[in-house]
Amino acid sequence: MMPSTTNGNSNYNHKSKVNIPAWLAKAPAILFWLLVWQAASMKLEQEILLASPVSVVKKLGELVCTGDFWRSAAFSCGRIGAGFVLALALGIVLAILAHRFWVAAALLTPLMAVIKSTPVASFIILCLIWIPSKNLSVFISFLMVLPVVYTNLLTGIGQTDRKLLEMADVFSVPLRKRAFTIYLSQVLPYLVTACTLGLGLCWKAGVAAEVIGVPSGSIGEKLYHAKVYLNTPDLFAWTIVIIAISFLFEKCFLWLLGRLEERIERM
Amino acid sequence: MDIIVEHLSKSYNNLQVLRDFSFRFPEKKTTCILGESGCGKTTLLHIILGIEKADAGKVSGVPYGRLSAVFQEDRLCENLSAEANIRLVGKGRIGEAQIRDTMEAVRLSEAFHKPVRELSGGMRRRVAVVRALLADAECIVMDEPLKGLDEETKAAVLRVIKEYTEGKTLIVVTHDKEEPRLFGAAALLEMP
Repeated sequence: MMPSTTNGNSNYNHKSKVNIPAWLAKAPAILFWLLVWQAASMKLEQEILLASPVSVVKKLGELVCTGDFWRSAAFSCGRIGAGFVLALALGIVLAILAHRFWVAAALLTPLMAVIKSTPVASFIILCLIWIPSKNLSVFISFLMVLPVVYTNLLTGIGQTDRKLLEMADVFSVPLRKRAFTIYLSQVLPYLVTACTLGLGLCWKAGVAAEVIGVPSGSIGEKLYHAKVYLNTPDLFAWTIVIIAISFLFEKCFLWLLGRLEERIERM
Repeated sequence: MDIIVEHLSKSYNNLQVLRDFSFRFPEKKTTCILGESGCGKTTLLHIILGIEKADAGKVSGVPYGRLSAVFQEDRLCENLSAEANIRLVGKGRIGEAQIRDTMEAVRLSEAFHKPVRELSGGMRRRVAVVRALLADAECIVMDEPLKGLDEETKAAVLRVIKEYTEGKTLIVVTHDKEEPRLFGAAALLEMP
């Protein structure tokens, strides 16, 4: 008789695996915290201090039915999104320059360090003097994302396999092909990290700029008014809107980067 | 034009790899470089390819810009398919049919669309060989191109290499004493 490694029970080592969607797996935890929130607000019995999830959802339902909600969302999305895209484009260019020319790296390193360590509120207050409040969120989100993209990309370019670059030199591979196949495929994971970090940051910083600058028709203005009039359900509803938009932005961008990666693989 | 190396010296951290080394690689002929591991074969190839600089000496006659190579390591882009790796070096001149035919000749048809990271060592080696053969080159340098291949595949690859390198300068590094004869080498450089 052949020795058995499964104690005669073929199912012993094969636990049945059920594929649960990620969102469903997180649902119990979300439900738990919603219940904690509801219980806390019921205990406090003061909507001004802590609005209940029910009243926030009600408020959110009212908001999405108004044209003003969509105008405000579009206003902030456009400006904060523009700041992010500008930072992404310039961050890539600067990282390439810094990798290629040591003078550029020497000049940019302290600048990026200063931007990274300066509190966002200081920038907002300072920039309010120079920039109209309606465009402040573009600049602030740009400023917060730029060092993240620059640092990650510079690291990624620096990590590119030297042996592949030597191979490209030997075969005289043209610069465009080199950029898309060798550099981009190796830098892409760093770009994904930069975008994930940058998208979260640009929304936080951009909305903070809108709350301080109070440009008319922005999400920041709505948050500011909610604070002034102690309208806590409004404040919570708009906060949920910001989280949702930020989440959607991140998913869309990462989806686009995923398609780009697939295209590189098929090149 | 012959490729001439004169009085080359190269050392790494006080270890002398090449000392006052000279040789002439005949144009449009095959030269095999034979020698044990660590005798400086790969270093010599790297100096000819321009990847490394010699401490002393001179190299002339290398058609830079019309070079191709099979490196000691395959040096393939892991995320790209075998076909994309081959096309990468082709300056837009390699047709899909040509790639397919050559890959088939080296028994690599199934790897056409597969990312290189999913291929075995022997398959990757053959992708590197096909890439070197299909690049538009006057001079091809190969560092142990048949490494890791079984006898049958080795024969097929050898046949394709000989076919594609006819009339071109071919420099092959090997430590198999049989290979200079198999490649039909016109010149043999035995490194001490």
